[in-house]
Amino acid sequence: MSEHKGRDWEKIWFVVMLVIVAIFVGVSYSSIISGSAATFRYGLPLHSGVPKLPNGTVVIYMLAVQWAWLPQNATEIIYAPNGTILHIPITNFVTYVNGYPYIKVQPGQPVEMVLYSNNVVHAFYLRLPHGPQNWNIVPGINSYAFFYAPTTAGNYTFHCAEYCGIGHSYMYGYLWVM
Amino acid sequence: MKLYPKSELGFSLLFTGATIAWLAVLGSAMLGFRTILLTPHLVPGPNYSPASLYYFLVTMHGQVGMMIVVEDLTLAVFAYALYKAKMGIIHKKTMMIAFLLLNIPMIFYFAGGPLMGWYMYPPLALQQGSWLIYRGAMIGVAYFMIVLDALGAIIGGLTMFLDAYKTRPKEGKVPIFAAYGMTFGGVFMPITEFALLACALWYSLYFWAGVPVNPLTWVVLFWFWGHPVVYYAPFAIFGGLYELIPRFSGRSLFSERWARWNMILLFTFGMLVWVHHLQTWPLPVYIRAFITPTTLILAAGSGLTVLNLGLTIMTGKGYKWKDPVGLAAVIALIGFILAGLQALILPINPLNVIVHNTYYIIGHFHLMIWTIIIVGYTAILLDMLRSRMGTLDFSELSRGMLIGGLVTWTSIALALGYDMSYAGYVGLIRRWMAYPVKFLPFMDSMTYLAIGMAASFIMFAIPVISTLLPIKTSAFWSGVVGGEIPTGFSAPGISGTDGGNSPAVKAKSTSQK
Repeated sequence: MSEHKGRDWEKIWFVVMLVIVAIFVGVSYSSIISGSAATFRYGLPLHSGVPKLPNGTVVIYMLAVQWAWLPQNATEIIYAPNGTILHIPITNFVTYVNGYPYIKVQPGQPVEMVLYSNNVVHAFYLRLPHGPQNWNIVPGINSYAFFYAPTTAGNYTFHCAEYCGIGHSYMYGYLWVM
Repeated sequence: MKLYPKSELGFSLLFTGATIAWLAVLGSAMLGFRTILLTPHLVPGPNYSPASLYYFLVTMHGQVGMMIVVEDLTLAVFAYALYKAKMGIIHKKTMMIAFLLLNIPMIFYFAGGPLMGWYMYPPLALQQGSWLIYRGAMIGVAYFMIVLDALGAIIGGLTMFLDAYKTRPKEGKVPIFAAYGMTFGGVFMPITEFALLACALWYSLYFWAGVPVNPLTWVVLFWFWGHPVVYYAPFAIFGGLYELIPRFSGRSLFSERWARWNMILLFTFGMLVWVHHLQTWPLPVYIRAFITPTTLILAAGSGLTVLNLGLTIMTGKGYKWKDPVGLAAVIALIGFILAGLQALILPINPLNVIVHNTYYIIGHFHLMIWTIIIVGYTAILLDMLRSRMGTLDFSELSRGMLIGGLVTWTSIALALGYDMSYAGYVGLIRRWMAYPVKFLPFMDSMTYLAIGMAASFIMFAIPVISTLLPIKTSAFWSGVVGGEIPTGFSAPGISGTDGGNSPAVKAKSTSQK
């Protein structure tokens, strides 16, 4: 029972609503598929959206514990001319200052973080000039973050973004662009 | 001796009283943890000593809100909707049991000192260190209190729904307010509360029988309650706004047909969007893609409500916003729009990661709570008080305090909501007790704004509480003055506007005889 006179605003609104929803959904899906998203595209969990790793990518295995980030080891991906993929171990890629890790990378270097937890749910949050990384880490399941290191030298702080206990605030470290 | 209320209005006021009591707990906890946030940078290094208190207060703040206040409020609105529709609650003892289950066991729960945050993710919530006092099987008992709490909400909702069905009008449709109460308080809430019940029972069984908990499964199950819970009160309050706003606009609802169809849309899609809290979680892509359109369609349904009510105001005979009830109703509507705008980016998967787990989210949902839930419910409560006051109305003092309090509350709420959201957008993570110094101005301003909100809440709560309490003479009431009451619409309970047909007036005249 419609109480108003004149135009059938309900039908007009219904069409407008569908158009708006279609536009929003379209933008969302296309930006994920094409990789042009504001989050700098990569790093969706379960390795979805992570591209074929570029030459020179440093792969860092990052363990999250209560309450610290513990980079375990790192390798660099090199594609040899004969087609084989070389995983070159990197030593001395991390240094600790006051107990907090500083992960050393080169400006513009592609980085993949393999994120895993041995206790509770954590989240890797790194706000870079060209977009944030923000991925939950569930015990027993790997999450991935892929990004290019900023081209400006400096320290970029990464944090835990999922409440993981009373030391949550103190769970952070630095990406040190040399 | 009366052990339970004898009327629908009595039940509504009972649940309202519990809401106000728990709001005082929730608000005190907030003032406590915000005080800690003023100076955490003074604590050198990883000194966790204030953290236990901070996280206990944060957890209690959230869980009181989500597990008790929302359900109490929804049932209060539902009971009042039945009263307005001249429908009834038949099983009053069952309702009283539901009330007790909803409100009492959680006291025991909080006595254990939970520290795990309101959404109590596993395995954190299964660690002994996540409790200040309880250990071992006692933690299982504490989680069982949440089972009882959920059971109270389920029993309360279902009982009122069945009673409403039995007492529905013999002819014509169920009035729109009661229909919203039945849909969201009577069906939507009981269905989704089962998810909370299951989650809490799973935890109890972990402590009692060693039943393993899969974190990802538990979290997906939890959000099937954790998201819909935010709709219980607002959607039931929508029903109230559908009744109040036309009354103060001096016309009927712009489109009642769409208000009814919208009920189906909100009911269905309200249960299809929960995974949008998990867009940064390792879930299959298709699930995360699924919730983008479902959430947006739900948002469009909310937009329809806004459009319907907005067109009612715009095409009416001049909105009576100087009446505290009318003002509160329109503030709730405007606040819902402003808080809703913040949410538009959230279901967009690539944008969600920018603000997930930051204060952006906190700002959004608090602004929603402060406007559509708190102010929207205040509108309904004031209308309820008028029903109870019979031939009396709010005095000039009351009106001044109500209007001043509501306007101050909402103005500060908008500043605080957007302050929080901006801080989140620039990187302030939620649940940090210590934070980078650059966020100190944000944190300080939030705390002072929160204190301002607490003060303005007291300002408009004083006339409400003094009217709620059975005080026979009060400075906050006065006899009806003809010109004071907006004319051209029906205001039940106030003689001269509806011919004394309201139940309250009838009851009064009966007792006088």
